[in-house]
Amino acid sequence: MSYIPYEDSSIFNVQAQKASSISTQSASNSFADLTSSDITYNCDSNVSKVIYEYTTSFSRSTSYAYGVVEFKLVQYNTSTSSWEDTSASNYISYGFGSNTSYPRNNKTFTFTIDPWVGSKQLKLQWKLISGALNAHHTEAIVNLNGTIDTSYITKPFLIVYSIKE
Amino acid sequence: MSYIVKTKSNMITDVKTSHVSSITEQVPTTTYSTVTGSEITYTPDSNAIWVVYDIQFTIHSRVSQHVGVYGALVYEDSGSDVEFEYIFTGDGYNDGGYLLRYKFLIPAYSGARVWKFQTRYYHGASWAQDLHEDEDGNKYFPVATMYSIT
Repeated sequence: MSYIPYEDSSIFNVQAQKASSISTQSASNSFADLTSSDITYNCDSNVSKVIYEYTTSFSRSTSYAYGVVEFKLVQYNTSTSSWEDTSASNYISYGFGSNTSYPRNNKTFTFTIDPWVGSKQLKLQWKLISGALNAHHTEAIVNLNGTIDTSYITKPFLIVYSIKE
Repeated sequence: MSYIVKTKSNMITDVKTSHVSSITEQVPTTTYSTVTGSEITYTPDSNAIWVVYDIQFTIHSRVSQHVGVYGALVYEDSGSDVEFEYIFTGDGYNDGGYLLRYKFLIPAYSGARVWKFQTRYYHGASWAQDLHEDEDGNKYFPVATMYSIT
């Protein structure tokens, strides 16, 4: 005989995914999809918010010593068959605007979305604001043996979950 | 009579944190060393698909010039450290302090593993940083957390 215990957890329906292979992406002047940011998420009826978290690395390009980008979370509208913003508040800006800042970092961006019922496609897009910035590239890492690797690529990952207040 | 208890899938389980009771300044060198408070011995949930490692700590530029944090998430295997993933945080001509947070998504494994986050600098002392304090010497505790996603 088996039993599935009743759970009253505030965090549930956790979905995670990670890129298996990936290349560097360069930000452009119009919004473009970030690799491995797309997910089809099924939301239940008793949800307060849905949390979307995307983690990867960003680094300056060889042509600029600075870079600022903007991100937005979009959802697929099956009625209009088009992608639209999840809401105006789900925009994030990241980067350094100084010409000598040489930005490089590993970042996790978190978005909070109003719930829905059923299945919905989500993805993250980004756009260049100033300078230049590359995604999934660290510029360099140092191995445990002390050798430097300038071709290291970070595999981005996504964690999406529901919360009940 | 015996019962088989099944947990629901797509849950966060087995949350574990590393918390130190006191903290002092940590001074990384040009070889990797373990960040104080980053070590966690973790056994995934038997139903885990993923394991998350999440660490947060404070740094400041050592000589008020640049920041260049080379980091590695490692685990112990037969007495040696094995790299899982690397990160790099760099900021030129910005001698401020930082609250750094790194998150890693690890495929589930069997048994217990000792996880550690290690750092070093590389490009000379002007790109070095000190940990767990700000430029005024105020101390801040690191926090490391691990959990399973079933």
